[in-house]
Amino acid sequence: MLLVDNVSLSFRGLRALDGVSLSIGAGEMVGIIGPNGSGKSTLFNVISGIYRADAGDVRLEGKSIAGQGPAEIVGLGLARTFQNKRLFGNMTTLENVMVAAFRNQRGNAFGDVFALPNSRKGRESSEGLARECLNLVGLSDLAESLARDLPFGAQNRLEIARALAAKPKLLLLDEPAAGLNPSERHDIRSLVERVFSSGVSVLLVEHDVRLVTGLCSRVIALDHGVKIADGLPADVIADRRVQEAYFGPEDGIDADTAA
Amino acid sequence: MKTAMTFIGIGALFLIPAVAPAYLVHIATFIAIYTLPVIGLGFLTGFTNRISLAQGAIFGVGAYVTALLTTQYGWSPVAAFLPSIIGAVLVATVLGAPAMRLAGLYFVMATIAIHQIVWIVLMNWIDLTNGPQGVRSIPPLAIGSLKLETPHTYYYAAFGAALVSFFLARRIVSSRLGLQLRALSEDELASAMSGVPVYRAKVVALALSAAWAGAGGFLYAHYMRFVHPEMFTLEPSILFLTMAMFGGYRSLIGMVIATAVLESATEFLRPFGEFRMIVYGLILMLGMMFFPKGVLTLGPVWHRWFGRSRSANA
Repeated sequence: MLLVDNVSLSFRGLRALDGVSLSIGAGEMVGIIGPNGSGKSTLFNVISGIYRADAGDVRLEGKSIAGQGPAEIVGLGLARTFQNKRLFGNMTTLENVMVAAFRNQRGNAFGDVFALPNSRKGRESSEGLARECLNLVGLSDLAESLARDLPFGAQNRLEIARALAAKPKLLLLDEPAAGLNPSERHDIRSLVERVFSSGVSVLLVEHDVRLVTGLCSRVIALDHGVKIADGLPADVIADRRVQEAYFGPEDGIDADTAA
Repeated sequence: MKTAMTFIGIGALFLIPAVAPAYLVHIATFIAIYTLPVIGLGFLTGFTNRISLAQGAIFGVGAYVTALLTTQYGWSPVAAFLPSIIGAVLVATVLGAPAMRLAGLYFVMATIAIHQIVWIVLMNWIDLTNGPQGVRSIPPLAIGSLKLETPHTYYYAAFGAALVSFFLARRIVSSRLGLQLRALSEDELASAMSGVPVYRAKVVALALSAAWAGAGGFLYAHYMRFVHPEMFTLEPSILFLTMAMFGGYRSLIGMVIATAVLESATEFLRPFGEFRMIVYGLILMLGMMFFPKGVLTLGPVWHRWFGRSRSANA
C-alpha cells in the first residue's frame, strides 16, 4: 500500500527525518509513536505531499508520489486529518465534508451552474456520500451547524468524516484523540475501528500509547527523525531504545546530543 | 415571504425610469453597470483573499473590445458582447495567472503593474486602440430595431444585465466550484488535502472576476458611446474595490447595496455643498472602522445597540 523509502528532510540544518523507511500493507493498521519533536508530523507532511523530502521516495501502491502536491495525492487514494484541526470554520458540517466528496464527482463547472442533469446527479451523489460519512462518525444531527460552532470532540470526528469522503484507500490520522476526555477517546477508538473494518488501511500517529497498542497490529517508533523500532506493539513498547527515548537512558545521564 | 420581497424589490427597481427624474435614472444605470465589476471583485477577493487594483483596467478591456469591434470592424453591439467578456478574461488570466502565486501586498503590487500594462497599451498602441484620441461614436446597444439610446431605455439593459449577473453569481457561489472556493479561502492547505485543485481554482476565480468586469465594460462603452484611456485609470479600480469592500466581498447583496450607496453618495450628499467629498471620505472611514466586513454586518451591530430582533447574514 504505502512504502516510505529512506526519506530524509532537514530544516535549516536540523534533521527532522533521517533515512526513515517503512511500509504499510493493504488492510493494515499501523501506529507511529515517539516523543514530541521526533518527526511524526513531519513524516505525515512528507507522505501527504505538504513537504517535499530532500532525499528518498514515497510510493503509494507502487507509484511514486514524491514531489506531487496534496490534491494529486488525495486523488490517488490517500487522505489525512490534521492534529490542529483545520476545518472550514464558516462552512456547515455538511459542506465541510462535501468539499472532499466532490473528488468523486464528474461533470464540469458549467454544468453545475446551470444544473444540467449530469451535474445534478453528481451533486446528489456527493451529498449522499457526505451524509453517509457524517452518519458514520455520528454527526448527522449537526449537519447544518457551522463547523466552528461544533464542540471540540465533534470537530475531531468531522476531520475524520471529511477525510473519509475523499474515499481513501489509506487514511493518515494525526492524533485523533488529542485533547479528548476518556469517553470521547473511547468513541474515537471505536470509530477508528469501524473505519478500519470498512477496508481502509490506517496509519495512526497518537500520543496515547494505550490507544495505539490497543488498535494497531504493528507499531513504529521514531526518535529524532530516526526509526528506532518497528514490530508488534508489545515488543516496541518493551524495546530499550523506545524506553530511553521516552524516559531517558537508564543510567540517568542525559546522553541526548542529537538536537 | 422572502421570494415575495425579492419580486417586489425587483419590480420597484423596474419602475425607476417611469417615476424618477432623468438624472436619477442616469445614476441608477451607473449603479447597475458598476454592479458587474464589483461582483466580479467579490469572486476574486472574497474567495482567494487577494485584493486587485486592476479591475478598472479589465473593465476597460471589455469596453475597448466592443468599442473597437463596433466602430472599426462594423460588428453589431450584441455580437460584440461575448468577445468583450473573452477579451477581458484573456487579458486577466494571461497577465494575472502568474500573479496568483503571490499573496498580500505583493499581489496588490502585481495588479497595479497589470493595470499599468493595460493602460499603457490603451494609450500608446495607437494603431490598435486609437491611443489618446479615444474611440468615438460607439453605436448604441440595439436589440433588433429597438435602439437603446436614452438613459431610460438603457437602464433596462443595464438593470437586466445586473440582475442576470447577480443570479448567475449566486448560482456559482452555491455550486461545487463555489464550495471549493469557499473552502480554499478558509484554509488553503486543508482544501488541497480535500482534493481541491488550489491553483486552478484560484485562476478560475480570477477568470470569473474578469468575465464580470468585461461584461460591465461592454455595458459602460455602449452607454457612454465614447471610451478613452483616462476613463480606466486606477480611479475606477479603487472605486470598485471600495464598493466590494463595503459590501463585504462574500455577500452579493451586500456588494450591490454598497455599490448603490457609494455611487449615489454624490447625490444624497448634495446638501453638504462643497464639503461633499469630505463627508464622503468620512463615510468611507467610519465604514472601515465600524463594519470592516461589509455593510450587512451592520445588522448584528444594530441589533446589539438598539435591541431590534433583526439579524442579517452576510
